[in-house]
Amino acid sequence: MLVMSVIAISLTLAVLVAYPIIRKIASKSPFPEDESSLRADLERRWESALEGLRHAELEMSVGNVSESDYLWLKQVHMAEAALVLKTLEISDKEKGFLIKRIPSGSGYEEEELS
Amino acid sequence: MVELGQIALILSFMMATYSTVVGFAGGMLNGRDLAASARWGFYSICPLLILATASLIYAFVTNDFSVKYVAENSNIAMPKVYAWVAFYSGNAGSLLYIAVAFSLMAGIAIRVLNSKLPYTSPYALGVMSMVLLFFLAVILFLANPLERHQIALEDGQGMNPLLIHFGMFIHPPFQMLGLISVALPFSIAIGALLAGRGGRDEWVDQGRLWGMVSWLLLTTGLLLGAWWAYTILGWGGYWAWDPVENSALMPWLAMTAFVHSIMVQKRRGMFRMWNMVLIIVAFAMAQMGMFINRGGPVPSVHSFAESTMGWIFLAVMAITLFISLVIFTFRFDTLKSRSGLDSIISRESAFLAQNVLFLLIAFITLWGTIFPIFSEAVDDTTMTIGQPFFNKVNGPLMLLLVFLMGIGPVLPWRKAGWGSINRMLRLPLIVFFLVFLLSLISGIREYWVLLAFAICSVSLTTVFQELIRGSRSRHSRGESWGIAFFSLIGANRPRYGGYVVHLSIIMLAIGITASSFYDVQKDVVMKPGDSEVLGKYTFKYLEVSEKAYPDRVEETAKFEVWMGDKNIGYMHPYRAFYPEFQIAATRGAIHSTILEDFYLVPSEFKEDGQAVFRVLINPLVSWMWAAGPVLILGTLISLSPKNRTQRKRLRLPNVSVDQNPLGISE
Repeated sequence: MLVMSVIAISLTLAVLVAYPIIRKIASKSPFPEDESSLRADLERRWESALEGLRHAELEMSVGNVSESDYLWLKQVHMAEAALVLKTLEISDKEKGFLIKRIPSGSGYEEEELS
Repeated sequence: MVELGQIALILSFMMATYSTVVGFAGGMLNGRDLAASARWGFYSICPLLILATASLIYAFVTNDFSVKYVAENSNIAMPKVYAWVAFYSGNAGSLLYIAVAFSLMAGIAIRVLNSKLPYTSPYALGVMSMVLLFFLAVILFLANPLERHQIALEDGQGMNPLLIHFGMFIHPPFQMLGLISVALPFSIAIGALLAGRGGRDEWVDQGRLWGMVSWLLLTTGLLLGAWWAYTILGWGGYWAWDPVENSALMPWLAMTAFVHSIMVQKRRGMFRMWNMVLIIVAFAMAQMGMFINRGGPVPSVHSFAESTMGWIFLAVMAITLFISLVIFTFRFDTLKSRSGLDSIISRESAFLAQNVLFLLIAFITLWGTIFPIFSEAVDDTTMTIGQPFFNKVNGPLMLLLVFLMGIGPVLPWRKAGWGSINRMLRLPLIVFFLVFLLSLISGIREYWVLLAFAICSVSLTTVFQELIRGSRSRHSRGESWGIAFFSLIGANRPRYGGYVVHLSIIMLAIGITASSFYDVQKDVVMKPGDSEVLGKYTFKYLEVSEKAYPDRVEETAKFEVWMGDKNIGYMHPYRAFYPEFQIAATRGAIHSTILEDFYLVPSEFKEDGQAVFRVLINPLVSWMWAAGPVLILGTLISLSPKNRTQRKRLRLPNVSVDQNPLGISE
C-alpha cells in the first residue's frame, strides 16, 4: 500500500513538472506584457501623476492645504501627466531625455510644456 | 502513516531543489515553459508538507511514542486537542510548521506574481524555493520530527507545561508565520534585482502587499505574545525585553519602516536603494530571530524550541546577507531615485526621519540583545542588558516616532507651505499644550508621562481631524454623516486604513505609558481568612483547594474582592506543579476594567494554606489588548482591493511604445 502510494505521488509530481515543458503551454501563449517595458513604466508614472492629482484635490476639499500649495501641486502633477502623454508620441531618441525630467518637480516642467 | 510523511518530506525536498534550479534557469534563459514547470513544482510542495504534517499530528493523536518527537513533546495525559500545539512546541516540529506555512503563503504569492510580474516571478520563485529548501534540508538531515525511536516507549515526556494554554494555539503560529513571511517581500525585491528590473519600481505594489501581510502577522504575533505573557506567565507584566521578545521586535521595526518607505517609492520613485536595504535588513533580522529562538548563545527565559542548531541559522543569515549585498552592489546603478526631496517639510521627509528612527531602535535592540556574547568574548563574563537600558534608550525614540506618526501623514507630498502647515497642525499643537497643561494640573509630575500623553494627543487629534474634515467635505456635498464617513474610508482605503492602524498604535502607546509609570505592586504573605488593601481594592483570602491531575497538582486560592464598597466577586489565582518536569506554573487572576487591571498571582502554598501573593494594579492594560483588533481592522482596510468604480481609471492612450523591449524571443 505504501509503495503504491509513493509510486502514485511520484508519478503525479513527474507529470506536474514535465507537462508544461512537454506541451510548451507557456511558450505557445502570447508574450505577457513586460512589467519593465517603457509602456509599463509610463503607465506607473501616469497612475502616480493621477494619484497625486486626486490626492491634491482631496487635501484641498478637506481643507488640509492652502490654495497656493494646492495650485503648485496640481501644476506639478498635471505637468507630469502631460509629459507622460508626450513621451508616448515622440521618437525613441527624445524619450530618455524627457523621461528624466518627468518627476523632478522643480518647476521646469512648465517650461517644457510651454 | 509516519513513513508516508517521511516520503512526503523527501519528495518535497526534491521538488524544492527542482524549483530552485529550474526557476532560476527559467528566468535566466527566458524559458517560460521552464518557469511554469518550476512553478508547478513549487505548488506541489505544500500538499506534500501538509501530508507530512498530517502524519505527525496523527502520531500525536494516536500516542505513537515510537516517533521520537512525539515522545519528547507529549504524553498520554496530554489532552488530545493539544496535539496541534505539541506539533510546533519543539524545534523539529516548529521547523515543519514554518515550512508548510511558508510553502502555502509563497504558493499564493507566486500565483499572483506570475500574472503581475511575469518577468520577475521566476527569480522570485527561485529565491522563495531556496528559502524553503534550507528549511527542508534542516528538517530532513538535522531535525526530523518523523524520526522513529529504536524502541517504542509506553509514554512520552509530555509537553512543556507553560505551553498548555489556549493562547498557544494562536501566538506561536502567528509569530513563526510573521518571521518567515518576511521572506516573501524579500524574495520579490531580490527577484526584481536579479531580473535587472529593480530600478523601475515594478515590484513595489507586490512588495508592499506582501510586506503589509508580513507586518500584520508579525504585529499580531507580538501582541498575542505580550497577552500570553501577561495572562499566563504570572509575573504581572507583558514585555521584558527578553532576547526572544526582542528577536520578534527587530524584524517588526524594520518591516514597519519598509511598509511606509515603499509608499514613497510608489508615489515618487524615491528611496529605491533604501527600500532594498530595509527589506534585506528585515529578512536578516527575521533570521536572527530564528537563530536566537533556536539555541542561540543569548540566555532567554522562553526559548521553547531550543536546540543546538542556532548557529546554522546564523551562518545562513550571514550568507544571505552577503549574497544580497553582492546583488545589491551589482545593481546599484539601477537603484538611483528618479527624483529628490522637494522640501524638508513634506511627507517624504517625515517618512525618512521615521525610517531612520525605526532602524535606530532596531539596531539598539540588536546591540542590547547580543551584548552578552561580546561581554563574554572580552572578559569571560556574561553581562546581560536589562529592561532599564532598553526603556531609557528606546522609550524616548519610540515617543518621537509616535509624534512623527501624528504629523507625518497630514503633511502633503512634495512640499508644504506655511499656510498648509498652519491648517493641519494648528489644532493638534493646541491640543498638545492643552493636554500637557491638564495633565500637569491633574497632578502628573513625571515629565516623560506628560510628554507621552501630549504627543499621543497630537496623533489622536490629527487622526480625528482628518476623519472629521473628510466626512464634513462629503457631507457638504449632500451625503448623510454616516454615509459620508464610510464612503470617505471606502474611497481612500490605504490612507484611512492607515489612520485606523495609527489609532491602535496610540492606544498601545497610552496603555504602555500608563502601565509602565503607574503600576502599583505589593507582595503580601496571607493565610486563609486574612484581608489586605491595595489602592482602592480590598481582597480577602478565603481558602485554598488542591486538586490532582494525571500530570499536575493544582492549588487554587479563592479571594473575595471589593473595589471601594462595591463587591466585584471572587478571584481564583492558582499554581500548578508538574512533577515530571519539576516546573511550577502560576496563573494570575485578573479583574479587568477599561481603566485598570487588578492582578493577583500566588507563589508556593504552605500546608496551612499560607502563601506569598503578588498583587498588582496595572492601569490601562486593556487598551493594549483592545488595540489588536483595531490594528487588524485598519490593516485589512488598507489592503482591501479597490471597488469597481475605483478601478475604472483614466488609462493611457493605447499607443504601443515597445512591443518587446528586451528582445526576448521564443
